[in-house]
Amino acid sequence: MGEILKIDGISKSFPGVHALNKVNTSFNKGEINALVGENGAGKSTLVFILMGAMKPDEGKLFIEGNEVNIIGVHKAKEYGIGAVFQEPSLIKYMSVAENIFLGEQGRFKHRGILSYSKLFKAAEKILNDLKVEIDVRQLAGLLSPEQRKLIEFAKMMRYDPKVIILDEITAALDYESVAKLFEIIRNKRDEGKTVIFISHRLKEVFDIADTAVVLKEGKMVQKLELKDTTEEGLINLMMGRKLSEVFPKRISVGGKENKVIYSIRNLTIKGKLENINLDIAKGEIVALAGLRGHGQSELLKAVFGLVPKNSGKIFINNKEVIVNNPVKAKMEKIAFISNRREDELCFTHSIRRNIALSSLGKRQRAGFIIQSKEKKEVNDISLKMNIIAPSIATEVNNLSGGNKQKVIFSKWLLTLPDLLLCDEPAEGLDVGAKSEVYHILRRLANEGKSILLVLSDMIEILNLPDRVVVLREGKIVKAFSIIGSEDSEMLEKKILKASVGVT
Amino acid sequence: MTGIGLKKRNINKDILQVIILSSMLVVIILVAGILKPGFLTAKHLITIAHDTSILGIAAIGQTIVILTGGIDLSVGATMLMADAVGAMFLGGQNRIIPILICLGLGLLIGAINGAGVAFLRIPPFIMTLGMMAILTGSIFIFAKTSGFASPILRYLSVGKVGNIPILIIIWIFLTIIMAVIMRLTVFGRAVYAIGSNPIASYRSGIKNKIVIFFVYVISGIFSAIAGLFLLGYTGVPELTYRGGGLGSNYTLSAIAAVIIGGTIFTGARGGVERTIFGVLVLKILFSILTMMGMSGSGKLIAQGLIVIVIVGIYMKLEDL
Amino acid sequence: MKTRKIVGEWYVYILMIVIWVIASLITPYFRQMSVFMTIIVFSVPLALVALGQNLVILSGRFDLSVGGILGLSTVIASVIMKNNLFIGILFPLLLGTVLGFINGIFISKFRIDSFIMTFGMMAVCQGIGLLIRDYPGGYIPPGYINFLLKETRHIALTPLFILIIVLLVGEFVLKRTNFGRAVYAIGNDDVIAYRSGINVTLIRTAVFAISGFTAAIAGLFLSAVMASGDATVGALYPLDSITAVVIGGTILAGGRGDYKGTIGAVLILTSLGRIFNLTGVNIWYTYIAKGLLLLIIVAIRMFGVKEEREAVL
Repeated sequence: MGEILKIDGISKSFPGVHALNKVNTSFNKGEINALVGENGAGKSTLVFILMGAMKPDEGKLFIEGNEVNIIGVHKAKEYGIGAVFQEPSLIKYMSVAENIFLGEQGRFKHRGILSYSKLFKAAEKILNDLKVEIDVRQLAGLLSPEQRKLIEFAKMMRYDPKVIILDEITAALDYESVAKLFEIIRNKRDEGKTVIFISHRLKEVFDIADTAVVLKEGKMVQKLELKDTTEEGLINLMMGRKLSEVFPKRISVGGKENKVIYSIRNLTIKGKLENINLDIAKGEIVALAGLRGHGQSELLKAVFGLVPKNSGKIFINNKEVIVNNPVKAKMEKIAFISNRREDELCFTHSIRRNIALSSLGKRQRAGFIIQSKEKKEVNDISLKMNIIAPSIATEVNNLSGGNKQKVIFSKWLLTLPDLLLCDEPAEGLDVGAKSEVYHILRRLANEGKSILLVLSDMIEILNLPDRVVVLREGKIVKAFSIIGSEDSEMLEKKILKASVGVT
Repeated sequence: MTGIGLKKRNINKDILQVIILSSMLVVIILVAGILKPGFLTAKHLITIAHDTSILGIAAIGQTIVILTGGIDLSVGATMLMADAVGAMFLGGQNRIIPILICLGLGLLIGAINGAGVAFLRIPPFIMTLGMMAILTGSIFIFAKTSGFASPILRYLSVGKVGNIPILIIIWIFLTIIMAVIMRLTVFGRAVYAIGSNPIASYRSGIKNKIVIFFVYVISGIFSAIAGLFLLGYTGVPELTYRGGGLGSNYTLSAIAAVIIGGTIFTGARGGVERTIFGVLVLKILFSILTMMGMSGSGKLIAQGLIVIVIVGIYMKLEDL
Repeated sequence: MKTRKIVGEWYVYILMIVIWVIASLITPYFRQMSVFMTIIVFSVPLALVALGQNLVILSGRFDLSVGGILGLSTVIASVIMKNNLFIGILFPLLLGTVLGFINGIFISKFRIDSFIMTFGMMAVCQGIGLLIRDYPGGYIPPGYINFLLKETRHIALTPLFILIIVLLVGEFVLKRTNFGRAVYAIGNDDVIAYRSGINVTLIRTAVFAISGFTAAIAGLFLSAVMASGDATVGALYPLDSITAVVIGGTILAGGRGDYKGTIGAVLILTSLGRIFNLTGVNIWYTYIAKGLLLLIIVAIRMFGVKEEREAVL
C-alpha cells in the first residue's frame, strides 16, 4: 500500500532544548508502526506537531504526497489525523458525552437548539461500537484512569481518522481492554489505516506492531521491521549504549545487611489505597510498579504527609511516627520528589535559592540567613551532583531537564534524609542524565539510605531497584526480588501479568 | 536534549528591568524639566514629595502581598479608616494611645484578611474586596468629621530636615527595613518562594499559611501608617467618597505603582525596592499631566494607558 | 441527598425569600408592590452587567472595565439622543462591543493580565466619559424613559421582561450552544480545550466583547433611570457584578456555574439596598452587608469543596 504520511526534516526547539532534530521518516497505509524512544526522546512533541497543537521550527509534512500545513487541531482532524495524548485530555466537570463531542455539541439539534438526549444517544452509539460500557451522562472526572483513556480513544475514533496515533495508551488499561484495543487496531490496519503506537512496553510493541521507528534525543535513529530485531536490539538503539553502562551495578544479597528501618502498616486511603503493608530496609531501593493511577503516587504522598490517610501507621525503627504534613516529614528525615518538576522548583529563581529552600532553618540566626554558609553548602552540593551551570545565581529555568532534576535532588539532600521517595526520578531526561540519576540513587542507597520509587518504564523496573512491588487498584498484588532472580524476560512477563490482574 | 547544562543566553532579566525602569524615570524627569522649567527645582519636587511618600508607604505592603501572588484591595479603605479613627481619637492632642489604636486597627484588618485568605482559602481578590465593602460601610457610620491630627503627627508629615521632607526619609527608611527583611531573612525567602510556586514551597516544608497570614497583616499595618501620615499631612480626616469603594483611588494607585515597579502578579520577580521606582514614575507622570493642564479625567486615561503599555513591555521582556 | 442538591443549586433564591420575609416583618413598606417594582427596576443594570461578567468569569478571567463602559454609554446617550434617538442607542452599543473586543484581543492574543488590561480600560473609559461630560447632565428623551420604565397596573413590565429575558438568554447560550459549552471547556482547562480543536483565542475575545456589549446595554437602561449621563456612575459595577456572580454560585477560577444563581444574587443585592433605604438604616450598612454576605458565602463554599483544597497541595 502507499505512503500516507511523510515527515521531512522536522525540528522543534524549546528554550534550550532540541526536542526534535531534523526527523525524517514515513508511514505507510495499512501498517501498525511503533514509535519508540526513551522519555524525552521527542515522541510526544512529534505527536503534538502532527496534531497541529504545535508548530515545527522547520521541516515539512506530506499527506499522501501533498505538502500540508497543519495549523490547529481542527486542521489535523480534517487531514484525517487523530491522537490520544499521553496526558489526560478530558474536561473533568463535563459529561462523558460532551467530552466525546467537545467543540461540536451543537451538531445535535432538536428544533434548532442543542438536544442533550440526542447527544447522549450518539455518544452511547459510539461507545457501543467500540464495545465500551460507560455511562455517558457521568461526569468525566468521576471515571477511573482506564475509563478515561477509553473515552479519549472513543473521542478520537469518532472521526474515523486515517492516521491513528496512540501515545502510551496501554499504560492505564487492563488486560481485556488491551486485548480489545489491539483487536480494533488490527482491524483498522486491515482496513488500510495507519496506526502509530507509542509505548514503553516493548513486549506489547512486538506483539502488535509491524515496524518500529526509533527516536533518540530528538533524532531519528532508524526505522526497522520488528521481525528483524529483538527487544534488546531495540533497547540498544533507543539508548545508544548498553544497558550495563546505563545502570549501576547492584550489590549482591550477601553483601548487605537487611535491616528493616521503615514499616508501613494498614495504610488505607478511601478509593485509592487499601491496606498497604510494606517494609523498606536500610540501603534498599524498592520500586512500586503496576498500571498508572493505581495508587503508587498516592502511597508516596501519604508517607510524606501530603495527603490525609483514612487509616494506617508508619514506623521508623519500630517506633510509630505521625507524619501528616511536609514539615513533620522533614523532621523525620523523609524527602519526596514528585514526577512533575513544575511542582518542585521555583523556575524563575536561582539555583541557589531553590537548593536552599528545604533547609533554610539550618542556616539562620535570629531569622537572618547566614549567607556564607548557604553559598558554601549550595556550591558543595552542586559540585557533588555535577550540576552544570555558569553559577549558582543562574535562573533554574535556563537549565536542561537533567540539571533541573539534579537541583531538586540537591535541595532534598541538604535536608540529610534517610528515606527518599521519588516518583519517576528519571522521567523526561536524556540518557546521560538518566544514568547520572540512577547512579546517584544507587550511591545514596549504598550510603545507607532507603529509597522508595514509583517506576513505569519496564527497563528501569528490571534494572534499577532491588525489589519490585506491584500495585493494582490500590492493593499490593505481588512483590518480586530482582537481585539474583531469573532472566528478565520471565520477570517482565510476571510483572505485567500482576499489573493487569492475571493470575 | 543535550547534556550541556545551560541552554540559552543568560540574560539577567532583573537587571534589564531595573535598567528600563531607571531610564524611564530619567527620561520622564528630563521631559518634565523641558516642558516646565520650574519642575526640577527643589521647591516643586517637594510639593509632590509628601503624597508620593504616603502612596509609597502604602505600596510597600501591597508589594509584599502581590509577591505572594495575592492582592489587597482594602489598602485605600484601611488608610482612610486609620485617617478617620486617628483624627477622632487624637482630637488635636499629642497622645500616643490613639496612634497605637490606629496601628492596631490596621493589624486587625490585615489579620482578618490574612485569616480569610490563608486559612479559609478565600481568594485574595474576594476577601479583600469584601473587606473593602465592609470598611466602606463602617467608616461612614462610625467616623465623624471632627477631630484633628496631633502636632507631632503634623510635624512629621509636613516638616523638613534641611530641605528634605521628613516623610520622604521615613518612606525610604521603611522601604529599606522591609527590603532587608525580604532579601535576607527566611521569611522573605518564603514569601518569594510562595509567590513563585506555592506547591513547591509547601512541599519543601514552608508553612505557607502562616507566611501568607502575616503578609496581609503587614499590608494592613503599612496601610494604617500611610493613613496616619495622610491625616498628618492634611490635618483633617478625608471623608469624601468618590465611588468605587472607599479609598479606591489610593488602592489602585498603589497597585499601579507596584506593577510599574516591576513586581508582577506571579510574584516571581520584583521587590519593595522596585516599588520606589514605580511610585516615582507614577507621581511624576501625574505631576507632568497636571502641569500640562490635563483634567482629572485625562489623568485617569493616562494612568490606564501607562499601566497597560508598561506591562506590555515587561511581558515582552519575559519572553526573551 | 436530592434535597441537598436542590438546595445547593437554588440556595440563592431561598436566601432571597428569607430576606424578603424578614424585611416584610420589619417594615410595613416592604409589603407593597411598589417596592418589588423598584427592586426589579434597579436590578436590571446589574443583571445585564452580570450577564457579561458571568460569561467572562466562566471562561476563567474577569472584567473590571464594565463600569467604565457603562458610564461612558450613559454619557454618549445623554449627548446624542437629543438629536437622534436611534444613533444614541446604536453608537454606545457598538462602542461597548468594540471596547470589549479590544480587551479580549489584548488579553487572549497578547497575553496581558486581565486585571491590568480591564483596569486600564476602565480608567480610559471613565476618563473619556469625564472629558465629554464632567458633571452628570445631558438629555435623555422622555419618550424613551417612559417606554422603559412605565408601569402598567403598578407593574413595570419592561424591566421585568428584561430580567426574565436575561436569565433565559443567558442559560440558553451557556447550556445549549456550542459557544457556551466552549466557554465552559476553556474555563475548566484551556489546554485540553485547545487540543480538542476549540479556538481559544476567538472565544476569549468574543466573551469580552459580549461583556462590553452588555455593559453598554446596562448603561442605556441606567441613563433612562437617571435621566442623564454620568461618567462615574459605573464605579461600583465591576465589584458588584463580580460579587453577584460569585454569590450566585460561579467559581471564580472558571468552568463551573451558571445564571440561575446570578440573577438571584443580583436581586438579593438590590433588595438589600432597598431594605436599608426603607428602614431608614444608614445606607452605608449595605456595604457592610454586601461584604459580609460575599465573604460568608464564599467561606461556606470553601468548606465544602474538597478537591480545591487538595488541589493546592
